[in-house]
Amino acid sequence: MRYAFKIGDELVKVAPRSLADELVLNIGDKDCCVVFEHGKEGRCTLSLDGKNYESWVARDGDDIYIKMSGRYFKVTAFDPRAAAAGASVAAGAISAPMPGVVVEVLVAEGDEVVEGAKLLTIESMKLQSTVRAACDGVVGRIHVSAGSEFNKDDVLVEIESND
Amino acid sequence: MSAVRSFKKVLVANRGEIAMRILRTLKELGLPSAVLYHRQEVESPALTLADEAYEVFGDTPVSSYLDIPQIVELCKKHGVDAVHPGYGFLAENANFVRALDEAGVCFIGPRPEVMNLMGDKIGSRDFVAEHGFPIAPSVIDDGDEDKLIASIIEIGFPVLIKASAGGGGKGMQIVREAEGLRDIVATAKVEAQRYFGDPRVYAERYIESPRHIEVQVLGDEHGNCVHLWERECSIQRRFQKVIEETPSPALSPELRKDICESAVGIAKATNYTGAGTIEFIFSPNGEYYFLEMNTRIQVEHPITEMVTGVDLVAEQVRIAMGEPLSFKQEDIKQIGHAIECRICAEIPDDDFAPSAGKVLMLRPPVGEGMRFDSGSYEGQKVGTAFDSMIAKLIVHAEDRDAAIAKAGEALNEFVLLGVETNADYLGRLLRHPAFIAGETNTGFIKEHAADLGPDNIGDDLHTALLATAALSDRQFVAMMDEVPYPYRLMKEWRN
Repeated sequence: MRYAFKIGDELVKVAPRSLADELVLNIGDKDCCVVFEHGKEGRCTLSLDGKNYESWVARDGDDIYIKMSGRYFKVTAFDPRAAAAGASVAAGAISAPMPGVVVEVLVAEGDEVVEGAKLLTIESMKLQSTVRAACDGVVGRIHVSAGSEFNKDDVLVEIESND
Repeated sequence: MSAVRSFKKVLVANRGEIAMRILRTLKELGLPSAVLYHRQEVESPALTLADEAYEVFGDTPVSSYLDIPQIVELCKKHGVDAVHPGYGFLAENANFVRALDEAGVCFIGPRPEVMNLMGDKIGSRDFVAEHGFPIAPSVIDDGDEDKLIASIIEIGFPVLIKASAGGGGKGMQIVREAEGLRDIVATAKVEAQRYFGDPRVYAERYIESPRHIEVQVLGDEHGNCVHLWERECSIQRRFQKVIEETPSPALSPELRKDICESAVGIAKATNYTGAGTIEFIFSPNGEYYFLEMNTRIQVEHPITEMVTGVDLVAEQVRIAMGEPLSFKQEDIKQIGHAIECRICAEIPDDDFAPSAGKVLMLRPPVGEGMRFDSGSYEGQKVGTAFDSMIAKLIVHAEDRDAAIAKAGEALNEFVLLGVETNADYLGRLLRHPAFIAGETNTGFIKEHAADLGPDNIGDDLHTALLATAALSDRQFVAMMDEVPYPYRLMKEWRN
């Protein structure tokens, strides 16, 4: 039950918590009491800890476009699991989709791997996910070891393609 | 009203908001209409508004609208006897007018000779000067580069160097000192050749902090010519207008009369027929110089329509039918204040880089004194194939302060989601104290760049955005539904 949203360059965790008959969201480690309504034709109203916000909302895939308080914003839903899977799409250097820590290194330099082979287990946003090889090849340099912390866009492991 | 001739079918050789604008007037005039479209635009509302629509083909979407033989052929094939060119594309192309003439099709606009005369920066300035109207000290390129350089130094810096055949800001630059001048001129000539097929450049004294003031004129075939007052278009980025207004806050009644009469004088001297605009550069000490003439309807024409009550497109059509103007100069009053904001698919905070995307939601502002001219629609894919302007928001109120306030309201009410636009930025311009004070000049955007950046998102707004995003995200909501709590509110979710 973990989820994050990107606003500007900032990634913020949002998680539902609940009370008996009120909705409580944990937003960036702060609990907020919310009432939310989708009105007609994309018009939304939000009551947040008693304060009201009107907005217009339209979604396109993970992108959520919002006009609120007379200004435009784009917020992107960010699923750590999907992002980690996405990281293996590119061959060559595999970089971190978001900051995190390496749980386990599953291969050694020089290992032959096939497409989809598990390379690393990482944890981001308290969620474990697997970094997989995007193509058949040989494991080149591994830049991390178990317990290594990494930042977004850090190169984790390199795969030399057989192509 | 006795028309000398009437039109059987009028083709709008354009697209987007101006096609919509012209088609609306053709409908009101009861004239059968047609419009061009490129296959990227099959869903454009212009196709529904027009009685007929003809597909144009080309290597690029823009080139299809510039294909004279193809468009003339379409006119012949479909019995079109008049063409309204809108602005841009072929609106100021004398070859197009001649090709239509040969096919027996009326071009709604001035005669090709006048278009050629006034469309040439050097020729038009000479003409204006010969008739005794003011032009800025300038140098004309006759091919002798040494002479050109010497003359530029003689008129004094800063100097603006432009392509003689150019328009729209391409290939213009300001030079502040003699050092490096020769290289700059050489580069300008190469660019002029590349963009416009004509290497001639010209240079003129650059007025620091000038305002851009232009005058709308209308002339008929019977020798009548009137002005419809001025527009100030000083808020520009990259020599392109962003906000226009009328009246100009800079003009006294005397100066207004003077500059408008100069414009009529220039138009009359050319025996101008149709709608045109004489652009002036207005210096901080109240001097004004002829800049150029646009021999077509302009993007910002609606503000003139708001304060005068004249439908300029209808007048263009009537003039092209041979009718005399139905009003005299003294009939045209400038009532209240009008402002136009150009909504562009661009990112002002990234140096106005063009943006792209799909229009997911479009809500025009609705209210008294508000007008929204647009060819946009929900589902439209906005790309870089055409100009970045996607809509114009025009307001009219009793005075300038009220018009600024109304423009702010209209921007607030207007919603366009899915494509990043300059809408927030326009709001920041309207709220800027210097704009409110009427202290505008063509360098305004650069001068005030530091104040025109985005406001910080406060903590409360930040949290509200995240909550709204999360509760609008289907996956997030689905995930919540998996937990055994009764989130009744979420059952409302549709789409």
